[in-house]
Amino acid sequence: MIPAAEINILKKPKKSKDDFRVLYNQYFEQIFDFVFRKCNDYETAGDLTSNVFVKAWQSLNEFKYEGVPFSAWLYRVASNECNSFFRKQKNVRFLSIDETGLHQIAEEIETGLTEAYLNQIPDLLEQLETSEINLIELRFFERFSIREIAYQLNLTESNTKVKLHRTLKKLKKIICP
Amino acid sequence: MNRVKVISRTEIDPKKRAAFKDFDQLESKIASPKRGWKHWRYYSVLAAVSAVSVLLIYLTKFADNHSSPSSGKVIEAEAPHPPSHEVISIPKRQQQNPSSEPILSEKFSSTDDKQQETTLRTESSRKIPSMEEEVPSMEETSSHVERVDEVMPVTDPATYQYVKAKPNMSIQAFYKLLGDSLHHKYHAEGKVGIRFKVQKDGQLSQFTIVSSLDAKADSLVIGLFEQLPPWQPATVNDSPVVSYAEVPFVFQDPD
Repeated sequence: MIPAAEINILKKPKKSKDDFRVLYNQYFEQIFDFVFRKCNDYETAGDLTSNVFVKAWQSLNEFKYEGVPFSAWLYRVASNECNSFFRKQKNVRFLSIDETGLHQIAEEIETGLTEAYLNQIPDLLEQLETSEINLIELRFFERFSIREIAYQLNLTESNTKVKLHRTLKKLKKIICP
Repeated sequence: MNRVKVISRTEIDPKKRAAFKDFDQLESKIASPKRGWKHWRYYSVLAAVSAVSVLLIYLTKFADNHSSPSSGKVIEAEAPHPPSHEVISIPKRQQQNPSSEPILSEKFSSTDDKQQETTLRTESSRKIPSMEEEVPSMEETSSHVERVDEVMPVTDPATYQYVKAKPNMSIQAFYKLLGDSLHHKYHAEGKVGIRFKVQKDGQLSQFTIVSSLDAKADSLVIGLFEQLPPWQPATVNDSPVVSYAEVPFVFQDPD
């Protein structure tokens, strides 16, 4: 649930610095974790997070509250910032996986929960393209709803579903040819 | 294409994360102006400030070179009026020290005139004792110094002519008269300075002792001057004015 105070701030046509401080204190941890899972380095994550909030402040008045949570907008800024960072720096991009995410993927692929398959999946994920990995990450490891993913990637919801389905199909093909 | 490395999720240390949570630092990052060629406004301000500072340095360094030629021009403009005898004109003084205020209004230049007269009068007073030496019988060698106290009407400095007050006789005769009248009346060594007012009709009044020798000498000198015949009053452009005169009266021991 979004707190009422935050909605009041977001509905303001002009946000002051103190308003932004409230939002910063609210969302810093989430954004930092999100960035950290991608770069696996505290220093880089700190830099990128501060960049994210600077950009968010600069275009805060452009944000209009239309039912989409402010966090989704911040995640969008953060993922764009990370993508541009990895593109420029040619650094290794990390994908932090956990067991629940892997189990979900296995369920979607309908391969059964055999340990052999589960151990294969991390290697298989590395063979995917970047956009596909982003999609998988947002859906299964960050656990966003389809709607939020669509908002972040600037796609329609149905298009997001289609892309996700194709990606899973591709994975299935690699596992069981 | 970026290489993607799949890792198992690690727990984030909240202490390390909190180290990066600093809103004030973020605020300074937001407030600091961006650098780059696109932000020409900042550079234009810098350039303007540096240009002004260079101009100031130039002005302070070469101010003397600039000011002296301008004052020189003013002198040239006022120089053509030649100083007459006993009449002191301003240009002569200004040529002596051109660094002083270059432009003076007419009102101020007339007051300058007065100062100039006093300086020149002291010069003439130095000459007079040498004249007195030629008169062997004189006990007292003296000169008279005048000062105009009355505010002069503002006139054109070119035509302004001030003639100081003087006795109705020649200066040598005047001092001979003084010496004869006090001869052998009082024996002392020293000088008594007397200052008095010369009215428009030449009458002398308001005697005051400027430099005192002793009480008897002072009263003798005042008594002498009270009996003097009227003087020729000082004139400005041939019209008489009130003026003051100072005369040093020197007592010498005849032995």
